[in-house]
Amino acid sequence: MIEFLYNHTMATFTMALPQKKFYRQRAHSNPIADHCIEYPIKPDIMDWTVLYSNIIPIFDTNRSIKILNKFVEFVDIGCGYGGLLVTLSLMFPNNLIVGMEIRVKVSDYVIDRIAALRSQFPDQYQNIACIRTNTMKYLPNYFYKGQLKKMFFLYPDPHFKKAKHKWRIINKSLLAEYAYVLAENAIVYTMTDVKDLHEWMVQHLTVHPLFLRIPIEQLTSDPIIEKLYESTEEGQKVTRNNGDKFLAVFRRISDPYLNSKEEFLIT
Amino acid sequence: MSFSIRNSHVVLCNNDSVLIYNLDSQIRNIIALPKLESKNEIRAHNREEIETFHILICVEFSNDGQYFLVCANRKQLCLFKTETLELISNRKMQRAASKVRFLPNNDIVVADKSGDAYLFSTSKPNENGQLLLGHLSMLLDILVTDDQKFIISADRDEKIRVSMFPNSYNILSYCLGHKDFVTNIAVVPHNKSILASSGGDGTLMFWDFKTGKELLTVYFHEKLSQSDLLKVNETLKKHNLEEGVTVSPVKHLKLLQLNEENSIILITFYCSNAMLVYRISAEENNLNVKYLSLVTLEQEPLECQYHKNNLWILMDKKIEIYKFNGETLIIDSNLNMQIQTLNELWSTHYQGLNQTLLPILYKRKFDNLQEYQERKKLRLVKKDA
Ligand SMILES: C[S@@+](CC[C@H](N)C(=O)[O-])C[C@H]1O[C@@H](n2cnc3c(N)ncnc32)[C@H](O)[C@@H]1O
Repeated sequence: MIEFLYNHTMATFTMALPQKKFYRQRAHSNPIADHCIEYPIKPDIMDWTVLYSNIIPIFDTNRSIKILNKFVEFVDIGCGYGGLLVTLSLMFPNNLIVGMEIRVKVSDYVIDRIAALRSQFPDQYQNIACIRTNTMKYLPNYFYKGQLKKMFFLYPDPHFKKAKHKWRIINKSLLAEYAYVLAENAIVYTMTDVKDLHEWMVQHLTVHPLFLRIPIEQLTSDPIIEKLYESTEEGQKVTRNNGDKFLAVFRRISDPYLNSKEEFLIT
Repeated sequence: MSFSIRNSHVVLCNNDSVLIYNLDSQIRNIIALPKLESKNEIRAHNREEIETFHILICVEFSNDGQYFLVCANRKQLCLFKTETLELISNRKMQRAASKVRFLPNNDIVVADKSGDAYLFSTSKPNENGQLLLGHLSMLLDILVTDDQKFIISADRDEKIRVSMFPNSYNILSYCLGHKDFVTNIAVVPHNKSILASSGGDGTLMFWDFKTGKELLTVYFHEKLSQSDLLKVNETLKKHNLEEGVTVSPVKHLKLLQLNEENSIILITFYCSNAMLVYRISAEENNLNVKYLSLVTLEQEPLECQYHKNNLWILMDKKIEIYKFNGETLIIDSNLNMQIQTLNELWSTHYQGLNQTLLPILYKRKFDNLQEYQERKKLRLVKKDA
């Protein structure tokens, strides 16, 4: 299925990196339509061992299935061609990271890309994987409540027209679902070159009671921030076109409504 | 077609008129529904067949019987006072509704076909609906628990979502395990921490809804006749859904408390006259669901309602009242005699327009995956050659 290269120094065959021209696809998929997407009915039956195949699984006697000894904690939403995954892989070798992408060919490119990287660098890139799925529908099928520590929205589709705003990957209802899969104190990173979309994301995240914006000054110690500009294919394209880049980072906080009720009970 | 009963009032709704009947005095009133007050006229949507197809007709009394709501024309929610029949509000909804229910405090929750749920205040009857939550899939059922702490929504994918209430931006859990759309959810009346659900996959599932933990799954579909299933498939075919289904989809799921430890469960189906009867007992952690009987109704039920320990079933031809005898449901001839006038009214009032939700429950999937994978294979084979 995949092209192989002969590696003279190691005298083994390795996979070649996939060529993007074979994986191009129309930019926008309708996230609301009934796509033919395979997804687990619930997180309990998701088999992560096939995605992180070099990690030795343990046997869960309760459910009689093989599972990993740790959870996926970082998710790149709409990962495109996977540039961020590749960057994060080496920065966080001990964390499991998954990219989720709705377009068939694009996700297939990332899958082939990761396979090629793993074969070229045998001990690396074992902690990243890509799944073709619709993150606007199926996140709770993959992740338990509070499982995720970081979530990335890099250069999401802008859907300029007002009628298409409901396709935007951030809105009031979807934020409730993101808040559900995120742990308290988990971080949400957003980056876009479209000012209008930036303002939209900031506005929605700001008014949502379960998210709090992290001021720029507090971000300097986070090594991920600088990678958000250039790691992804879309980010590189924006640089080539001298476009703007707008960053906004939020923290998942506990529910102020519950907190206020607790205070009420104590006093 | 819809009806509701509270105290001595029955309200029946046809396409654009509402019949209110007093069981004691036998006084009847018919009210025509008002025109929707809206600047822009409602145009038929060309875009989503889901929205245009089905007109939900729903009437319901509030728990205390003070109010009833009517949701008949597309996107219109009318609220009436029962005693005076005064129209309190005539509000516009964002989208066509798929389920409307009163909360214990008389506010109204509306679930719609685009997947959103709205809260309409009754104390402020002119206020617009306020968005509570949204799924990316049509909502088929919704409920707010009796303590008004949780709101539970079920959709055309397989999801049941439990959110806090009124802070509904905070999702408490998901009850995941159904393999098809979920048409009905109901809290077990004698054990209010348990949720029952059913839909298109031939199972009745029970959940500890606060944690989303699955407690029990009951398979019932082999109890139903193949000819009913055939009817489902014929109907679907008429709507250009060629892929046959193997399980009759659930239309109604009703739970009625018998005593401290037991409730009965009734399930009805699309394209079927059958009604399955179960008993659920839940003592502590021991959930027990026992199959009791299959009742064959005269026609496919349009609606079922409990009233004073009786089951009232609305059908095309008439309303029929059943009672539970410990094992099964039998016709209560006495009560049926008493509603003869009502039945006569119903038969003249009823216009035979029976829209069914059935065709929009199933998905028309388009497959672009297979084609892509085949082309990729070809490309790689060519390369090798
Ligand atoms: C403009 S691209 C950016 C990709 C990548 N993050 C980058 O920076 O290069 C947005 C991506 O999100 C994907 N996407 C859009 N909606 C999605 C959804 N509901 N689920 C998963 N992926 C989605 C699109 O297919 C597209 O590849």
